[in-house]
Amino acid sequence: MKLIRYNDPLSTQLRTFENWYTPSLSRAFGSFDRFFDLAQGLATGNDLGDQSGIAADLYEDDDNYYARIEMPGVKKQEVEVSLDESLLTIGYQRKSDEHADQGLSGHRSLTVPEGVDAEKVSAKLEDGVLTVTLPKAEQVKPRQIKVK
Amino acid sequence: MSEITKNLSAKKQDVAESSRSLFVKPNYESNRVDDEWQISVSMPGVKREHLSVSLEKDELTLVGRRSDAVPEGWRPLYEARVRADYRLRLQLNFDADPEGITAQLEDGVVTLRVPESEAAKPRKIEVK
Repeated sequence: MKLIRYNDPLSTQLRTFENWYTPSLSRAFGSFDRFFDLAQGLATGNDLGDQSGIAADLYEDDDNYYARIEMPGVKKQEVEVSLDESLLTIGYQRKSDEHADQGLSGHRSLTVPEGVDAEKVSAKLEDGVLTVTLPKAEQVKPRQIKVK
Repeated sequence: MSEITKNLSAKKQDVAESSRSLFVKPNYESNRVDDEWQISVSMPGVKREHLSVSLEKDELTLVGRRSDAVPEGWRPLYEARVRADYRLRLQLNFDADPEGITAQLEDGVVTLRVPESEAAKPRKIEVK
């Protein structure tokens, strides 16, 4: 499947200003629209032109990939992280009824590069920001070649 | 179109007012519970010591500074979060009791309780 987002030239000009905006509690998750943006963006490396305020970042260093996702108001025991091949899914299930109006559960998926050591994936939730650390498998790590 | 233009100039002005840095307006919800307003504001990435709440006349201002900076050595592959600091300014249309305002920050959500002042509460008039 291939989805191509229509870019309104006017809204592109306004993007800088439209970006002053963060997604709400309910909109941060479960947006398929955004999931496709993300998956497609990684596959093609194009600028996504999304103005709706995506709440996920992906980084790497020599040893790991890191995904950062905003989950305001969600407790750590309510979060579930899973990795299926290169699809990272982050779900939450609210335990209390207190926040029923904000949705009881939701999930968000993003594509991460291949070559992750799935056994060693870890996640940390701090101040409403979830950081998932995905260690690179040995074979994809950069290797220093000694010149003899 | 006029709506967009209006919106744009409002945002420009907002940005111009802050000399130190740029802000995003956080999402919030407000509910009235008994004699107080409960306002929850989403500020992921903000720690308690970096949150300030102030009330000046009828303008309630929340500023939250993010502390989830990207560690050194992390190279972005895909960056889409808006990581500016947060500022929310709310004009209260009731008389708030400044002493009674409380703010709590948990898991990136600020819960503000803003009670109405005694004077603003509806009074029951006894009919003689």
